[in-house]
Order: sequence, then C-alpha cells, then structure tokens
Amino acid sequence: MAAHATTGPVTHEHEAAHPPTSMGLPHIKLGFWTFLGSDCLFFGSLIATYMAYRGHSLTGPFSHTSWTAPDGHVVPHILNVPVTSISAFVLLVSSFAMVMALNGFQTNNRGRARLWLFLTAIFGLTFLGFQSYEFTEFYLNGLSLQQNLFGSCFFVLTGFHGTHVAFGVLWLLTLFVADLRKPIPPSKAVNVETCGLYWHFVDIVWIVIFAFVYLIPVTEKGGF
Amino acid sequence: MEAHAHAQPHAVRNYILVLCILGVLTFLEVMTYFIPWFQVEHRRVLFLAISVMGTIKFALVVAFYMHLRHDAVFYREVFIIPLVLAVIITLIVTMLTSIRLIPYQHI
Repeated sequence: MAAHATTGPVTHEHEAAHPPTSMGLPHIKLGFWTFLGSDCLFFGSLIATYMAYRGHSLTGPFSHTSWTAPDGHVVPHILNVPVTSISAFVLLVSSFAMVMALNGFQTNNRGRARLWLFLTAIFGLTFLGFQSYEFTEFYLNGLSLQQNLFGSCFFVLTGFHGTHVAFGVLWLLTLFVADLRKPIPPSKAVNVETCGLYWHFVDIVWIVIFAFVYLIPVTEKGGF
Repeated sequence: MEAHAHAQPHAVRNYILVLCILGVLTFLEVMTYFIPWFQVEHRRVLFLAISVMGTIKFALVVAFYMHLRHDAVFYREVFIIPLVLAVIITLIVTMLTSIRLIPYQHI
C-alpha cells in the first residue's frame, strides 16, 4: 500500500498496487469520472440553452447593453466583468489549493494537507460571496428569474453552478473535519482525490461560463 | 519512494507554473474584452480569441490539476466522449439559433 503514497498523478504501476477490481482501476474514481462525464452533458445543455436564447430578450435589463425602463429609468449593462474576473481568479486559485492539499495527503504531510484543504474551502466560500453580491446587484437592477429570457437562462446556469460550488465547499469542510478527527492516511488519499476531481470540474465549468456568458458580448441581433 | 521524493518538488513547481499561466490567460481574456477594436467591428475575432484562451485554461486544469494527462486512458475516454458530445450539441444549437429567419417580435 505504501506504493500508493505518491504525488500527483496515479500511474499504472500504482493502479496495480490498488486492491484488485474488475477493471484494475479504483471503482470510486472510475464512477466519479463517469459522473463528471454526465455532468458535462448537464452543463452543456444549460450553456447551449443560454447560447440559443442570447440576445433574444424582448425586455431588459440586458447583459451587455443599457436599457431604458418604461418609467424612463436607464439601467446600464448588467454584467460586471471586473468583479467577476476577480471571482473567476479566486476559483482558479482554489483549484491550485486543492491540488496542493491532495499532494499533502499523498505524501503524508499533514500540515500542508490541512492548510490547503481549509484554504480551498475558504476560496470556495469567497467565490460564493462574490456570486451572492452579484445576484443581489442584478435583482436590485430589475433582473430576476422571470424578468426576461436572459434572466431565466443566466440565473439557472449560474445558480446550478453556484449550487455545485456550495456542495463542494460542504464536501471539503467534511473532509477537513474528518481528517482532524482521524487523519486520512495516504492509502485513502483517493477519497480526497475524488473530492479534488469534483472541485476542479466546478472550476472548468466556470472557465466556460466566464468566457461565453461574461466576455463575449451579445449583439442586438443575438449573433456574434 | 526515492523517485517520488524527487518528483514532489517537480510536481509542485508544475502546479505553480500552471497557476501562473492560468492567471496570465485570465488577465489577457479580460483585457481582450475591454479593447474597443474588438467591441465595435471585430466581434468574431473576440469570440475566437476568448474561445481559444478559455480552451487552453480548460485543458490545463484537466491535464495537470485533474491529472488526466498521466492517469489511466479509460478515465480519459469516460470523460472526453461526453465532453465532446456536449461541445458538439452546444455548437449545433448555437449555429442553428444564430440564424434567425423570422424576427422574434413577429412570432
């Protein structure tokens, strides 16, 4: 089992050291990669829906252009790219923290593992704080789930992502507390690795959302 | 284990390097968004540039942080096949709906 205490990727030699399974791969990891594949299709459908309806809203507020409300009040473009850039970078840093935590667990470096795991959860909570601020700002500017097509697609897409982040933070904190109660040995590092896979997946989904929702402006005709 | 002891600083160095590249790419993406030349009449170039940078960031996280680059090939297949399917569906839906024959206001 000592051979399983590695850093970074699990190579084929180390797979051989794992308890035998029908495929020669840890079932928990294989199952989780399958789940992530299905989650790709889930988020793919939400992003496709957003792309299909982008620029088709008949009433504002709009994502990248200003809008004059019926009472004459001018609502500027709703997306705040500088603020979201910071939250996007925070999520990227959290991915780095997660991989450092996994490295700590695999090398039995308890101090490093706990510190980085806790930091990952804190970065995740910071991202959720940014998202709460953003959602509140949007609501105060008149954008809600029912207001227009943009609001419906945007809140469903980013809301589901935020829910994934919230679940990830809970998972991270659970691992942190579990490690405090009974240290996770390197032979069980695959449990942390699974949580890490989930966390990195949440990060890559945000990379796509940030690029296609925030950074590619919507034209009046809805095209590119 | 000795080989792994040598491998560890190397792995950590790679993680830091990937974080730096991700940071630079995010900065470039945001800067590209704010360049007026792209905003006014070169939106397709903006779309292409941001798509390429986003794809590189995506690939870096998957390859280095999720370890898919060195991990078992079967994980790659299980993840990449649905991912490619999702990308194809998104592209088809986006292309079909960006051609609007009837203005929505008249439906």
